[in-house]
Order: sequence, then C-alpha cells, then structure tokens
Amino acid sequence: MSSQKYVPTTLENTPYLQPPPGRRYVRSFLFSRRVHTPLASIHVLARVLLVMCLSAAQLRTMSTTHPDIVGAVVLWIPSVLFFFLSGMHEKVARVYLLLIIPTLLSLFLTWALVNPVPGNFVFIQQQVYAGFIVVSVAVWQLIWLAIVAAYYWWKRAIVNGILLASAVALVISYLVPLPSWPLAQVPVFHSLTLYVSDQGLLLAFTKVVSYSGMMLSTIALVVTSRDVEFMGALRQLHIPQPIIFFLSTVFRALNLALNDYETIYQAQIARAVNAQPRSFVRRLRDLASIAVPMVAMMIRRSSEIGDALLARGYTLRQQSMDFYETSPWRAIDWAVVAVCLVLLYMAVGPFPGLTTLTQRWW
Amino acid sequence: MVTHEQEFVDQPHGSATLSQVAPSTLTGNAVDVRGLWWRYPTFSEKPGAWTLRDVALQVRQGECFGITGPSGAGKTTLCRALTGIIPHSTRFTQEQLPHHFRGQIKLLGEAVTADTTASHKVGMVLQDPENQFLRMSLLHELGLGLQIQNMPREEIVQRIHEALQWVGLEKLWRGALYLHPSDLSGGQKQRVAIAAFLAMRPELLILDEPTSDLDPVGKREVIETLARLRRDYHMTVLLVEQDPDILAAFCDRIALLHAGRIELVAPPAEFYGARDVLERCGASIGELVRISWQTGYTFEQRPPLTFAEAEAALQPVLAQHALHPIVVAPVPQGEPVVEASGVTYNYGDGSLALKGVDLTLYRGEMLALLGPNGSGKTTFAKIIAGIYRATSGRLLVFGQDTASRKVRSRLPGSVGYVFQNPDHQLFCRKVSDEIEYGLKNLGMDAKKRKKVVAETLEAVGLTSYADEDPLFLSKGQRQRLAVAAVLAMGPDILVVDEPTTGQDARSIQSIMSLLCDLQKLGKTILIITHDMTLVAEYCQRVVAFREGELAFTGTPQELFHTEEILQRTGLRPPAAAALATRMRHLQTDFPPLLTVAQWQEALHP
Repeated sequence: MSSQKYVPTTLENTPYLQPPPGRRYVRSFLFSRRVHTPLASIHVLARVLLVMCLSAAQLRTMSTTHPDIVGAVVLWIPSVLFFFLSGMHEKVARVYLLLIIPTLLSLFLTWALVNPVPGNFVFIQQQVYAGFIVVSVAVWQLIWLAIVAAYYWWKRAIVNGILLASAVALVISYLVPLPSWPLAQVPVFHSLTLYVSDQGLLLAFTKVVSYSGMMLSTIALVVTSRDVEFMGALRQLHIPQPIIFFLSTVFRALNLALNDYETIYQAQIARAVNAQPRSFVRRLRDLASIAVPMVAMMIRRSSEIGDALLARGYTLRQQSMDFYETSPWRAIDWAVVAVCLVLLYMAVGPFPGLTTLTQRWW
Repeated sequence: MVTHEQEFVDQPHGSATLSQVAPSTLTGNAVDVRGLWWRYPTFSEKPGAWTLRDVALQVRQGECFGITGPSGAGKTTLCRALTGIIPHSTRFTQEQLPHHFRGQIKLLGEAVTADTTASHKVGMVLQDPENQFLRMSLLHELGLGLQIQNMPREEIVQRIHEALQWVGLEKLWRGALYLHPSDLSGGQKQRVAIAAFLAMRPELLILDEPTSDLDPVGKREVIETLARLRRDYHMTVLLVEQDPDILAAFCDRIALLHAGRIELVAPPAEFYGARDVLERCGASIGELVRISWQTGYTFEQRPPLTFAEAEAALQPVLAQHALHPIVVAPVPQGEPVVEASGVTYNYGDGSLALKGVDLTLYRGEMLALLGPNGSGKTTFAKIIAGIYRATSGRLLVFGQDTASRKVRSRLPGSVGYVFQNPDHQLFCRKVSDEIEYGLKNLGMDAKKRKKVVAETLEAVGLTSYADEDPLFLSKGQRQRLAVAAVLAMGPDILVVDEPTTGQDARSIQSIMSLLCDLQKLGKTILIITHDMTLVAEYCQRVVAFREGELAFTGTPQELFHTEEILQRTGLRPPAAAALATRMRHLQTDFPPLLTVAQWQEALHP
C-alpha cells in the first residue's frame, strides 16, 4: 500500500476537491444542489449581500403610496433567474413553487379586498366591521351557551360544540330578529371595509410580484449554500475561532437532531397518537412531548461528542488553520458588489422608481 | 495467533490473506496503570459507588490488547481515564480529587495529564459512528485533528489521503470535499473515525466497542481494517469489545473487567479456558467455546477458538458414529394474521424500498426478518405497524386493509413496534406515565389504565421503579421499559427492531426470555436482527430480504445448511451451524446441528 504525495497545484491533482464520481447533486445546508451551478461559484458573502440588497430594492417597490409595478417586474427577473440557476433538485423546486402559490394568493386577496387604497375606479365598497365591538346581553348568547353545554355533556368535546353553536346562533339571528340590550361600545382594531379599486389591485399585484421574487431568491440562497462556505466566510471576517467552531458543531448537531426527530415521530405514531381524533391542545401537547426524547438524545449525544472532540485534541485556546474552508474573493464577486450598490441606491437612495421613470420617458 | 486471524478473516468473505504477523517488538509498556480508582461525582451529598476499583494493567508496545466485560463494568470509563479525559476535564479541586480519583496512569512512559489528548499520541474511537463525525464533509472530518495542530495544508492532505488508504476507503478520496456524513454508511463512518486518528499518527489507538452499533457488513469492514493495521503498521491497539470472536481473533491478551475490577488477564486460548470466572462475570462467550464447555471436547486441553481447532477437537466424535439424532418438534401453524401481496414502497425520491413483497405471517410464531441495511426489512415491518403506508399492493392485518387511514391509525393497538434505541421512544418523565401514554392515546378509561400499568410493570420487573424518571434507568432497563410500553397496549403482533445490538450476554438473555414468554401467550413476534445465533436459537421461521425483495422464506435449518440459499441471501451461518456443515463434509451423515444446545444434545457425554 503505497502513499502518493499530492502537490495541489491544478485541479487534476486535487481529486478531493472535485465532486464525487457519478454524482450530479451534492448536499448543501438543508437541501441538495447540482454540483456545478453558476450561482454557487459566487462567494457566499457576495451571494448573501446580493439577495439582501435585491430584497431591499423589492421592498421599496411595494410602497403603498407609489407602487412601482415596473420596478417590481424588472427586479422579479433576476430573482427567478437565481431560482433556476440555484441547481435545486427539480422535484424539490416543484414542491416549493406549489407552497408559494397559496401564500401569494392569500396575500393578493388580503391586499386587494381589505385595504382601502383610494383609486380612480372603485369596483366594490362594503363595510364588514365597524371598528368597535358592542358589548351587549342578547338572546343568541343564551342559545349559543346552551348548545355548547349540551354538546359537551353529550360528547365530552368542546371545539366542535363551539363551531356548531356559532353556526346555529348566526343562522337563527339572521332569520329571526332576537332582542339584545347593548351595554357599551369598545373600539378594537380599525374598521374593515371590502374595498376594491384599480389602485388597490395594482398595489396587490406589485406586492405579489415583489414578495414572490424575495421568496425565490431566498430559497436560491439557502439551496446553494454549504455550511463549509459559511465557516470559511466567518473565518475571512475574522470572527473568533471558538465561535466558528461552536457554529460548525451546531450545524452537525442540527443534522443529527433532524434524523432523531424522524425516528421519534415514528415512535410516537407507534404509540397510537393518531388513534383518536385529537383536539388542538392535545396536538400541541403531543408535539411538546417529543421534546423529552429529543433532549434525552441530545444529552447522551453531547457527552459523546465532547469526548470525541477532546480525543482529537481540541481545546478552546488553540487557533486552527484554514483547511479548504475559505474561498477566494474574485472579480465576479466585485461585480456582484457593484450590482449591490445599484440595488442599494434603488432601495434607499433618491430613486423615483422605474414606473415614474418610464412614465416620464414616454 | 496467526491461524486465528487467518481463520476469522478468511472464513467469512475470503478477503486478503494475512501472510504473517510481524513479531512483537517488546520494548516497553505502552500503557501502565497501577491502583486506579475512580468514581463519578453525584449531585447529592452521598458519594456514588466506585466505577473502577484498583485497576492494574500493563499493555506492551505493539500489542493488541482486548478488554471485555458486561455493560456497566467500567470499560468506557477506563478508556476515558487512559486518555486523561477523566479526571482532567472534570475540574475537581485539589481537595475533591482524591475522593474521586486515585492511582497512576502512564502512557508510553509518561504520566497522563490534561494535555495528553492534545499531544496526539493517543487516539480514541467511540462506539457510535454518528456522534464522532464532527464536521459536515469527509475532507474536513479527516483534517480536523491536524487542522487544530496548525499543520500546513499540503501535509494535512498527504496524511489524510494516506490514512484513508490505510482503512481501505481510497475510493472516497475523489469528492471528499462534497461527501456529507449522511452519504456514508455506519461502517464507513467508523473507518473514517479510525482514519482521522491514524492521520495524527498516534502511538496508541483505543477503540471503544467500535463494531457494536454496526451491521455485519460494517462490522466486517472495521475488523478487516483492524487486521490490516495490526499486520502492516504494528500499532499498539487497545480494543474494548463484546464480541468474543473478534477478541479471540485479534488480541494477544484479553482482560475481563467486571464491576470495576480486572478479574482475568490472559492470552485468548487461556482466557476462554477460565470457564468459572467468565460465567460468574457474565462475559460473552463464542459458540465454539460454549460447544466445548457443554460437550467436554477440547483442543490441547482448552476450548477450541477456530474451526480448524474445533474440527481437531471433535475427531473422536467422527470415529464414534453414534450420535443422538436431533428431533425438532414442529411448531403448529396458527391462523394467518398478516397477509401481504405485492406490497411496494416508494421513497420520496422515487427509489423503491420494496419491490412487491408477498408474505403471510401466522399467529404465535417467532419470525426473524433478516437482510443487510437498506434491504427493506425495516420498511416492511413499519408498514405492518401502520407507520408507513404501502405505495401499492395489499396488506391485511387481522383481515383489515391497511390502505385505509382509519385502520392504520388504530393499528398500534394490535401491532406493537419497539424501536432499536429506547431513548427514541420514551416520552414521559415517569416510568408509570410512560406505560400509560399509549393507553391514553387508545382511549382506555382511567381505572382500567391503572390496572394495566401495574400488571405490565410487574411482568417486566420494573414495579419498584414506577416513580423513577426513565432517563436515570440503565440501558437494559430502558429497553425493557420500551418493550413494556408497547406491550401494555395489548398488541397481538410485536415487532422488535434489533433488540440485542450492543448488549451484553445477560441483557440479551433477559430480553429474549421476555419475548419467549410473550410468544407462549400466543403473540406473534417479529425480530429484525443481524444476530444469527439469536435466529438459530429462538426463531421458527426466517424471512430474508435483499434489495427490496424476498430472497428466502423458510426455517433457520434450511437457511443455514443450504449453501445455495446462503449465497442467495448473502447471510452467514452462526458458528455452531457452520461447524456442523464442516463436520458434514468429513462425515456425510453428521446431523445438521444449529445451536449449542443441539450440539450438547447430540454429543452428550
């Protein structure tokens, strides 16, 4: 068994820095990404800065007084580009896109319906809540209480009883005028009006475009980053060694904890947690009881991890060398910083917004 | 010694033959321990019991020294003391120290101090491969120790590459920067741990039960690595191990640690001859030795340690030609309880864990699910228990189709699943609450629950611990509690995942007798295991998985005595069965024996 000496000058001499043979994807911090993906070749600090500046600029476009729809659409393009250049696994990407859609839809509805933005055309205007609560004694309350109590006596459950009682009370008070005696008016929150105007729709649309851009670029950042890069970046930022080492151990412990969680969750199913319909409180309690074995595992693991660290000769005093953690800061990273400055100007500088600029130009 | 190693490495896989072992250069003691006493600090005023009592050990340089003993004997504590982790990382004051630590420890002629671990003369590989993988890539994991030493990058690369070759993982070098701990198997991780220390060029390597958490393939990988280190690099190795076969094959001398005391130190041949001491201390004993003890046949007035020695010892038997025939009483087959047809399971990423499994389980049988890691046996068991849902195919449990969500959610009441690690499945802070937990979930009323809890605690012998916190029970007790918690829910089928991994002989005996009692009550027991001795001794039927398919269904007898089936399933017979097969080559009418008990019956003097 002979040992070969390596003089790492070219890539051929450093097989350990190349992707494993036959593998198209490598693991990143939480997901996996394609081995050579354009976004990953940018330094992690530049990447973080870029996504932050881009998000800041996107936040500016959502201004309630002057929604900058052109800016939002223009900035959306690099966000989507990042998402597709992140090298995310196709299946995972699809899952995340599916998760984003309902979020955006509800965002759109909230902004379009309940936020009164004055506009040139008003499509719908109807008050649904006056901005104060009337404290009163009413007959429907008695009906409501009676149903809840009866349901509890019958089924020993409360949530379904409340739902049933509320439904019945609503229907009865809608059909039959029931007497009530108001005592006081307490202002809570502000009045809610269903108010749809052209400006409101425009703002909602801008928000959806900008938020989706922010989400996509953030996902791209998380997908491409490997924890080793973070450690290297912290080292380049001259963060004290013990902190870096602590963080790298946290990353590893997180990975172990995720695996433990999976098993513990299965063990809970094996103990019939799903056997009966559970109340919300019960569900929370079951979730909390996962903490007991999680903590037990962590205690047992941490003492062994401590031994393993000591056995490798680790002490807090030592300064350790960089060993393929840091990556060099290259020309492309400077280019990214330049782009960041432009984005930063768009975000906080005296920039009127692309919509205004295009209107002026036209 | 040479023959032992050849035997052990050759017999199972037929890998590298060990031509010769370099003669020991006995220059001095690598380890010298005298009058070592240690007890852990407690949180109360009352001092705890001594974990180590007057331990004295001398390990010569270049020697492979084994330490064995039951769980809780103080083996791991001794390892921690040798590296100086105790008492030097405990922060005792000068007044406190003598109440916890006494004695002298010298490594390589120097007293052990707080800086011993940082001096990189000693490496220590621990039991759990997960916990000692400290970084997120193979390259950084291997380089960690040297990085701390501030070694130049080129030298680190050269040394870790060399170390990786030593442990036979050269193929992982390409792409080491990108290999995540989850990309490696348990055996590979354990070898990486060894390599990480080898890169630091230690003079003494301590291995604390390095194979006990591994499957047979991982075990073999680590053992072959040890053999290579001994053969080629002549390193001083201190091996703490339960497995008598590994100890006998690799160690020059073995020490028996029991309740903190060294009871016996001897070369393997002599060590396994000391039947009284070994039995009194509950040490794990290999099957060949046990056959010799039970039948009285010996090799040079001592128990045989290899198949060649055992064959020689049993020569007089061949001449006799008068063996007692073995009658295995057939177990009456009960009604079917689980019927699977064409069951498949698809992981999220599209790979198939099960590729169409047809299997029927009958009431009252004890059945072993065998196969290498990732062969689908655990997935199948989890589908039976309603933890996973089969992707396609039909699986009936007591006639109910598990495709229905409602059936699956009620399944834990009729199919119990005990996970391998008790710590993953203890959810409460009191032993009695733990047993009650599942009963509450099943909606049992309080009065009945109380009765069942009391009965179950009685059955597993934990009544006196009812108010304890499970965290403070011993590992064996926690395992019993985990079984009890599932048992209380009254399942008719019990799935037990690797109940004996990493346990000593007495814990194995205790858990298996509990399972046998349950079987007598008419329960169906499924054991997922890698332990072939356990299969031969306890199971009536065997189901072997390979790559998501059934490779064999039948009796242990058929499995272990048919060469073709062993080939197909990739399994290995236990030593007692393998010895019988070898005897049958010498004498064709030799009975196909399976267990030590059968050997005793056939040859009873």
